[in-house]
Amino acid sequence: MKRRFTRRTPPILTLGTIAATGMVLYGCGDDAPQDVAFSTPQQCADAGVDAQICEAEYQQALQKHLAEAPHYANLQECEAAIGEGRCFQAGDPGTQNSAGQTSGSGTGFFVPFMTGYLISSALSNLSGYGAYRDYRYSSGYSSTPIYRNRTGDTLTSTISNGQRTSRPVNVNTTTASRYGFGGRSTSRGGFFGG
Amino acid sequence: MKRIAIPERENWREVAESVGFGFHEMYGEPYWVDGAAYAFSLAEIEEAIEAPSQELHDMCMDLVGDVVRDQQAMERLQVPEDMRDLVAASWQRGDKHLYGRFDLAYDGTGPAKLLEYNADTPTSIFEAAFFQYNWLTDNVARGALPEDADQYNSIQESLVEALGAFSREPIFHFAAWTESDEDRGTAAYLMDCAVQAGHRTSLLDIRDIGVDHQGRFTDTEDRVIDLLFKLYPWEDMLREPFAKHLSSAGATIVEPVWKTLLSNKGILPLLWERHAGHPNLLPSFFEADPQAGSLADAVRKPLFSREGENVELIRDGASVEVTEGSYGEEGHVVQGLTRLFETDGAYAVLGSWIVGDRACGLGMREDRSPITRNLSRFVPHIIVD
Repeated sequence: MKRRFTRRTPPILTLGTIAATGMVLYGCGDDAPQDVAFSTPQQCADAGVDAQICEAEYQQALQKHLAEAPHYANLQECEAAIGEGRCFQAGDPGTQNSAGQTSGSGTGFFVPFMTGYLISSALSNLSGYGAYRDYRYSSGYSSTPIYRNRTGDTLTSTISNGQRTSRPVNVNTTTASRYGFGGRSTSRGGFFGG
Repeated sequence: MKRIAIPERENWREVAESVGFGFHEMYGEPYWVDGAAYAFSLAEIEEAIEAPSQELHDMCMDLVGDVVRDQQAMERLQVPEDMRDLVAASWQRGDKHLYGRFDLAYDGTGPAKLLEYNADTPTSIFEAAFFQYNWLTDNVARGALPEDADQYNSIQESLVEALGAFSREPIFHFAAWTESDEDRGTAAYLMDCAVQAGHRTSLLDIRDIGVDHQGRFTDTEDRVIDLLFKLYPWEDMLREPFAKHLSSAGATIVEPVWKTLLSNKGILPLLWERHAGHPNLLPSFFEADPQAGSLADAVRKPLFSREGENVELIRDGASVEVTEGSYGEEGHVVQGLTRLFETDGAYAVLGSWIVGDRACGLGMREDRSPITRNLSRFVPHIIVD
């Protein structure tokens, strides 16, 4: 049979247009709640989320972190992967408290410090702890623990099919400066691709 | 290969507007041509365009592998000294690339000749991948083209596949010079393909990219940018203030920075050095090379130039045409002159698309001057035997 490149129907555009009026495309609506990163429950409460919710979410995130973050048999291995001073021994889930300090000793494995957690901006709309419990129960929501690796990337880990995988997260941060790209074209009167 | 006339689709302007293709007219001139087409045989497409494009791309990839280990070659390509490690590391890590467009001269006789490789910021992909395809199926449906008319075009499915190879976890940010309808539309089109590949996406202006205290790039909502497509030239980014954050930002950038080596007219003499006499290459030399003077009929091009700016046409050793522009301070190459397909005072250049590492489609542009500029027109093509 003679080779053909095209089909009988043209390709599609998911959004129907390349006019790009709305700048944000999520595929399923623009008003999705955003994840907000906090280092501590206090920072979370300062941002206007119920303090009890902040603490509960922190504990949940920490449990998840201990279960799903990469595990290392000893400190050397962990620090080689994550960076010096960035690991702690986690045999007992209570070893990292909400101020990020470690305590206790004993046997166990080593994991990177949890450097913060992502919680959904939807939580700030909840009226109190009761509403939060209902929300968690009905939506299956849980916050996301985050840690930083040797190169400074912010990561989170998950386990699926028995595989522990780490991935970067689009954490919220504070922009220190902008307009560091585009200057040469500004002087040229605009850039137009070739 | 021939240029044929076919009746315009009566509603093509409405069709264009409805998909956001507002730049079918640019600078007050028609850009999209609905009432004509270039017709090729399948053999011409396969033997004269597809296979050579694939071979040229493979030759280019081999070249990059050598250039990243060669300080002198990096120097000749004007990669800023403090950015060379970044470029080399990007190649050695195997940073994935997305797409590129070869501009080829071909008139239906003899082999196609490589004019240049737009390997970093190619545009006209929406026109080639989507609108030209739409034109074909519309014309077959209304009987203006035969049922078995085809087109060398699997560009969009290749884009969706190639975009699917990038991690779906972070938001895929798309940055462009958004004041340009053409650039914004091109980025929005690629973003649509990314959505089709399962990505969450966000579009921003290249100038709005920020940096946080840890040196990571940020978007306008203060989110860290982990995965970025940018329709903005590397040769400029490497010389701009935020270049110093590139090595620590931790972002995956598409096209990857090693593409700056290919989107550079300096590859033309480097390819010629390695493959002198190759049927798809024209003799090319850096301007300082004494052999450059041996080309009586030639084109002098800046290493970095877009839209045909600062190009000089030389016949019998004398300059016969020069285009204006703001490029050229990084040096020039001189390339042997070749013939373009010409009909009724229009000169055609073939845009042969590479997506991932596969030659997968064609878009034709023609201009009233042998130097293809920003007033060129896009003309669809068909395959008929």
